[in-house]
Order: sequence, then structure tokens, then C-alpha cells
Amino acid sequence: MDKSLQVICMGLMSHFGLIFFIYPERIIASTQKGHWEPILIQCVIFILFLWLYLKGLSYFPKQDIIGILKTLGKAFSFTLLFPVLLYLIITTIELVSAYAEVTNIIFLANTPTWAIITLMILISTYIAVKGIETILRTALLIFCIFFPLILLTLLICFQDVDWHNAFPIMDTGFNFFREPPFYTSFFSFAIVFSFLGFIPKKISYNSKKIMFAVFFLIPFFFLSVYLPLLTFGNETASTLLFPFITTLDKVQLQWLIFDRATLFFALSLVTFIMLLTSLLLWQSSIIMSQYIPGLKQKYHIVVLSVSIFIICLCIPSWQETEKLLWWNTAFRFYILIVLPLIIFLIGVRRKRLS
Amino acid sequence: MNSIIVEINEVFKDAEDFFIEPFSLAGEAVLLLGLHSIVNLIKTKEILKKDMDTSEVIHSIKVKRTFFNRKGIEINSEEAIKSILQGKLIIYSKEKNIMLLFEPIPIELNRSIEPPANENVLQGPLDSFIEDMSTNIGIVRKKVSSAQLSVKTYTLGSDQKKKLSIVYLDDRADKGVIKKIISHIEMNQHTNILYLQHLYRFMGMRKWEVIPQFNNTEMPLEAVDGLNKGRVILFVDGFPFALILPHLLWDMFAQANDRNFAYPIMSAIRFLRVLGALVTLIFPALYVALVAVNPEILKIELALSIAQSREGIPYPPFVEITIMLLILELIIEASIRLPLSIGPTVTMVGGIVIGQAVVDAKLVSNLLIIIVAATSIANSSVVGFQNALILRLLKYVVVIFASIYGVLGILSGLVLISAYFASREIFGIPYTSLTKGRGGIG
Repeated sequence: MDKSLQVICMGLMSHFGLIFFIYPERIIASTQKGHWEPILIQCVIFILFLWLYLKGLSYFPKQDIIGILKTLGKAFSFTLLFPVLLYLIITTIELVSAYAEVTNIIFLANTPTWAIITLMILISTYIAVKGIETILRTALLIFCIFFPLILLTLLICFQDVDWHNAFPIMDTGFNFFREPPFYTSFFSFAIVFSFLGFIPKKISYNSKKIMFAVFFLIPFFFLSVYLPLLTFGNETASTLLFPFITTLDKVQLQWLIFDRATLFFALSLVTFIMLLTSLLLWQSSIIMSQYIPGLKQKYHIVVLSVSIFIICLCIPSWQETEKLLWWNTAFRFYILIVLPLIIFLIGVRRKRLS
Repeated sequence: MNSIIVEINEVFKDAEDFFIEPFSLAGEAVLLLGLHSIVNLIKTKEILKKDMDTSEVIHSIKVKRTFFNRKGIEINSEEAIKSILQGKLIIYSKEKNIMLLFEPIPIELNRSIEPPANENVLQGPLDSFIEDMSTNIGIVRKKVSSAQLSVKTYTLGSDQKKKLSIVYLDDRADKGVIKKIISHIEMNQHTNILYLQHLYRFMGMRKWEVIPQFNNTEMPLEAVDGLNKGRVILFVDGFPFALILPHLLWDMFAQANDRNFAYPIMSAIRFLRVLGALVTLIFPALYVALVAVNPEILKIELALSIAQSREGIPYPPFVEITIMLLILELIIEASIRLPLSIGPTVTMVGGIVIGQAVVDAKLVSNLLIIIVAATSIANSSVVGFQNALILRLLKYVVVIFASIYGVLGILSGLVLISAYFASREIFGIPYTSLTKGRGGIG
């Protein structure tokens, strides 16, 4: 049965979770003017390599990514997959600690961070243990409940917009290529759709529909950066830690009983991240169970989450999390660019040989 | 007396309603065996007599043979005991030393078909299932009238026999599901089914499962709708409802009778039910979250007025809401248990007297009464009592999360519940899947 809708919901939700917190701040830090240029370049790279990845996978209708790489030999496939595993685990740590920290800073000042980390890891582990089908179905349910809320909040944000803040539109220097934040902002692109290679083939999806959904996603990247920019102007926006959340906070609605409707928006994004974390846990456990056999997949997940929980407790502050984001950049490009290329090339070679 | 009769007599020695009655059929001396309590002996005898008398005129010897050949099935003593318990009449021919099975006129032990008692229908068919299984199957057959309708009946139980029927449309139902159900039934033929819990268990449901495998409905319309969607219906003798299998999440919001209204109205009604489910899960938790953990998200005027209404209340919102919700559950339980004439009194005492007094005594805030009332109303908007029960239970999970994590707790509670729903599979069919029109589940 075609599960494209579930796959798309999973992808979209995870991206939403990744876009609205850290991404706007990174892009605004990477350039003074013409913010659309870095975003557009990133989107093009993202779409191009996602297309390559899907194309590569489509050459192997009966195998998942591990099966494909194993045709090259077990040791070699391990070398190729090890960076992926590492990136998955590091990203999970980043996500959990970063979002726990953010929640703690913005909304739950009195709750200790470890309590939020516990909640996130517990729920993610529960969902991950139930398997990929549960993850995808949960994604669809959660999407139906929260997505209307998110769209509504985004629409409300337009009331404070001053379109003059978009100028200057052009940046001819392309200085953002020299800025580290530009590279760390790929964080919002890299990880999500890699799970397509891991899902078992009985869960079928339509690549065309997924590409179509990705185009639906692009405007949100622009919105996340431009809404704060248009509301505050570049000078102010660049001083904010979470520009988008601040933009939402600024919105005042007479008819609503809530003063900070942001909370619902932002926290539903945190729940999206819980779902993404469960997906990452599941993905890592798939790789691990291939190379460390003898242990059931769900125990892999439990072992992983316990270790991630301990590591997250050891990360003292937001600054450390940011450092982790920067260190991880090489792996990020590996999973965003190198992995799709490898799969694509193996696929082309396989096609020629046959 | 023959050894077989002695044997049967021995089994029923303590049953005073058991009879062995001498009778003559076409001049032949026979014994009639059965149970007074379920066989209408006088009428049955009349029928037997009449059958014989009219035939005798034509050709007595031939008819005698025809009678035994046509209506009787030869059985042994074990089968005879089983049949007697099921309300059949045994005719024992002394001469030939054989036992024959006869379908007697039963004593009417069933109520007639009435409007449903636990589910209300608005402008739809008003019949409902009754305790008698064959009547129920008859109602379904009358509404479906298709040659594709398959009915398979099994007798289950080791010492207390119970009949169970599987009804489905051959061309629509999922073959895999039917195969699984039948294999479950055949594997557990000796399990006594006294309550639905036994049925759940032998269908492979875990003990602590909240979501049942079956959707119980009293309404034939719903059952027929299920059949047309490719689902399977189980009837258990003595239970006045159909068990539609598999039971899916969407059943909580959609009723077949909705389709008797115009499409926009149907959509609006169903949307309301979804809203009702969400309100049930979120409202009590939201109160706890807003008052105890995240008061800053409310407009300042509102936050102050809530704080004012909570003035003098000595304990945290979590305890406050738990008390009120528990009282509400007690009222619901009590009004189910009590006779119809006392039920409204309990409601009145619970609603007005306790509600008012509890606020005056500064045990809970005014706002909380509104929340609790809204929750219980919203809770009843979903289709099916068992679905309402699921929500009634799950709302506590969200309340507990909300009391610790505030709004984040509510949302994570919803994620957890969604994940729980998503992880359930009923005979290989995901609980969250939608029925897509005619022909299939999935």
C-alpha cells in the first residue's frame, strides 16, 4: 500500500521542527542583506541531492540502503555507514539537548533541563521501539492535529510586517560563503529524508509525491527568515537569539484569551522533534543491529537512548550545544551530499552492468 | 430402560425441568426427552401429532418411515445431551433403539425487537439487536439480502456451551482477517465465553489493552455498514449487540446513520465529534497547565481573574481537578447503576448541589466546574460508549503530564496517545487506518 502521505507528513513535520528555532538566527547571522540568496542556494542543493538519493534508491526496488551498500562488501559498507551512524547519534544528542535547553529558556523556566530531556527521550524511545510503521502513523495523526495550528499562527504573524525591511534585496558579494553560520544552517536540511533509504520495502512510497511535497516545504524556509526580518529589520533581528519565536511573541490579538499563543506553536514543534528523534533512534538501531547482531533491535534502541540521555546530561549549556553543531558540519555534508552520490553512482553502475 | 436413556437421565438427575415423556408417533411408542424450561412441550406434541395424523390417512407405514428419515438425524448419547442443552427435542424410539433429533417449538424467552437502548438514533432505522443470535442474523440478512452473505456458526465452551457466529460478505471481506478469526476460534473451542473479556482474550488481545478489538454496536444499520466496508461481524448468543471487527479509530467519529444527512452536515457533525474528543483530552489538562505551570500565556486580566477564583483553595490544581473528575466519574457510574427514577436525582445532586457547595466551600474554583462540565459533555459526543470510555481513561494521562510539564506535557501526552493508537494493530490492520469507501479496510 502506498504510504507516501505518512512519509511526507513525517518529513514535513521534522523539517518544521528544525526550521523555526535555529535556522533563522543562522541565516541572519551569515549575511546582512539579500537573505534569500543563501536560502535559495541551500534549497537548490537540498532538492538536487534529495532527487539524486531517491533516484539512486529507485534503482534498487527490493533493497534498503544497508542492503545496497553491502553489495560492496561488509567491511567497506561499514566504512560508508559508520559516519552516518555517528551523525545520527550526534544529531540526536544535539536535538534533545538543544530543544530541551530552548524549552527551558523560553517556556519552562522553573522546570530543570534534565526533566525535559527525560520526557523527550522517554517518548521518543517508546515510539521508536514500536517500529517504523508506528512512527509513520503517529506522524500522520500528529500532523492532522497540529498542522492547522501552525498554519494559523504563521498567518497571524503577517500583521506586523513592514515590507521595506526586505531591502536591500541583492547581495552581490556572496560573503555568506565565508561565514560558519551558513554551513551550520544546513542542519535544517540534512537529516530528515535520509530515512527514506532505511524504510523496509514493504512500505512503499511515491518519489514524485515526495519531491512535490518538498517544493511545498521551501516557502517555509523563506518565511522563517523573512518574518522576523520584515517585522524587526535586519539590525534588530540579528541581535535576537530566537528571532522567529520573538516575532510570534510580538503578535497581539484582542480576541484570543492567550497572551503568548507562541507557546502552542513552539511546543508543538518540540513534539515534532520528539518524533524526529524517535526516527533517528530507529535508523541508528537498524545500522547497529546489522553490525552487532545477536541483540534485538528494541534493545539497541534502549541502549542507545540511555547513552544519549547520559551524554545529554553532561552537556552543560547552550554554548556547548552550538559547538557541537559546528563540529558536526563535516558529517552533515557527508549525509546530505556524499551518501546520495554514492547511492546514485552504485545504482547507475548496476544499471549499466545489467 | 435402555442404557442410553439411563445415561442421559444420570446427567440430568438434578435438573427438575428435564422430562422423559412417553408418546406415540404413528402408533409407535417413543420417548420424548428435553427441558421444560426451553421447550414448549404441549405445542410441540400438537405439531408432532398433527404431522402424523394427516399423513396416516394417506399411508401409515410409508409415512412412518418418511418421518424418521426426513426429520430425524441419528445421534449418540453425547450429542443428545448437548442437543438437549441447546433446547432441542430428542425422540427415542424404543423399538429401533435409535435417538432422533427434532426441532421443537421453543418457549419464547426473548424480548421483541425494540429501539436501541444505549445508542440513540436521530432520524434513522429504529431497530436494534436482541439477545437471541438467530434473530440478529435474521435482521442482518433482511437488510443485506445478498447471496454473498456468509454465516458460519460455532459452538464454543467446554462445560457451558455458547454459540458464536461469524457473518461477512464473501466478496468484500478481507480473506486474511477471516482466516485468522476462524483459526483463533478453532484453536480455542473449549474456552468458555461468558463475558466479552474471554472473547478478547482468546482473540489474542493482551490483558492490559485499552483499545478493544471489536466495535460493539446495537444498531443493525451500523453492522450492515460494516459488512459493506468489508468488515466481519461476530454474534455471540446472549449478547444483544454485534461485534464489528476490526475496530478502527475512525469509528469513534463516524456513524453510518450520518450518511442519512446531507454531506456538509455530515462533515460538520463528524468534525464536532473530533473536536469533542480533543476537548475531552485537552481541557482538564489545559486547566492544570495554565494555573500551575504556564500562567504567563494567559492574558493578564484572565490570569488575575482565575487567580482570584482560586483564592483560598488550599491545594494544587492537579489535586483539585482530580477530585472533581473523580466525583464526575462516580456520578456517571451511579447513574448507570441506579434505577431510572433515581438516576436524575443523583445527577441533580451531583451537578447542582455538589457543584455549588464545592465552590462555596472553596474546595475548587468556579472555572474548574465549567471545565469539568465541558469535558463530560464533550466526552459523550463521540460514537459508542466504549470509545467514550477510552477517552475518559486517557484524559488522566494527559492531566498527569500537564501537571508536571505544563503545555509541553499536554502536547507530549497527545503524542504519546497518538503513538499508542498508531502502534495498535487489530488482525494485521492498523487501528488508525481509515476505511476507504466500499470494498476494503485499510
